[in-house]
Amino acid sequence: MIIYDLLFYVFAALMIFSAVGVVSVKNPVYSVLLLIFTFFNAAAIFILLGAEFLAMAMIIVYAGAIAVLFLFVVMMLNIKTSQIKQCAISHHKLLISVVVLLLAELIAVIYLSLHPQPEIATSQNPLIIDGLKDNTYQLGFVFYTKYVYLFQICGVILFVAIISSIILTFRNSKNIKKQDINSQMSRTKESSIKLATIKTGDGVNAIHRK
Amino acid sequence: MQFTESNVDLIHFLVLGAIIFSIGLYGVFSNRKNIIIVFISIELMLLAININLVSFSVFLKDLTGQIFTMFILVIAVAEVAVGLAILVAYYRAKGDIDINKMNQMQG
Repeated sequence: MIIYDLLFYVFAALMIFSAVGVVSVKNPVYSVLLLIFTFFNAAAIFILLGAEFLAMAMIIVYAGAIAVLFLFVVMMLNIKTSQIKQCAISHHKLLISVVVLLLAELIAVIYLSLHPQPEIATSQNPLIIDGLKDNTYQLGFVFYTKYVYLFQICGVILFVAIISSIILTFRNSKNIKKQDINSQMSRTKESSIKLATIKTGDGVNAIHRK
Repeated sequence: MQFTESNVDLIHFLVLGAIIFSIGLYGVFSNRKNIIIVFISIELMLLAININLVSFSVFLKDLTGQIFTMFILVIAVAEVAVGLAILVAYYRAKGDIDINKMNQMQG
């Protein structure tokens, strides 16, 4: 399976490079676009793993929703890139060494814990992946049976997020024309119609002149 | 599945996740001016976690990891939506999103 390995390395390399780009480019618009590219590569990695449903969900949610949200906010806030360029942080080398140290630690832990292949304890009643059925089919079965409450709570969380973000960004402006049904319905003929007799040749302005 | 003959095993995916996580961490700490990049870096870290969960799920042949990846996706979306809304409200109030000036509470 040389093609499988090759595809993994290509997508992983693209993903790492675009992730580095996300944190290092100056213009936030490019940063968001590189984030989309990173998530597409992650979706490709998920497909290589055999998790097609999550790959598609990833593309829909991130490229379709989050990225558009980020782009809207980036363009709305009108941040000057020249200001950002000026602010170079002083502890850059220290930061890079700390992050590299953390990465080395993580990789060391992963290697040490996995290399003499251990007896990995599985859960009490695992949801065993059936290689014959497709991924979406199996996920769908579990989402609506075993995890139905968590799934519903997810919906509630999204609903709360919608309401809170609308309330946070809603501006009650005086200039907006709104329909007030009570005042519309309580109008009478006397309060809204004025009958005037106008002499021939005076025109409409004669009413205001009186 | 297709991993039987492949040289790419669990370690490769976990290391990829660790690298992406470190890049996200670097992005969070290195950025002192633009808070949007901080949000994006948090997204990268969540992506690394998702890669870890999915690869463990596939290699242990247990579907639970993928289900929790789905839930993490939902929480990440909610977090980003609310965070960006707070950011927009803050920008309207202050006219700037400089992190260094966010010290009104003197905390």
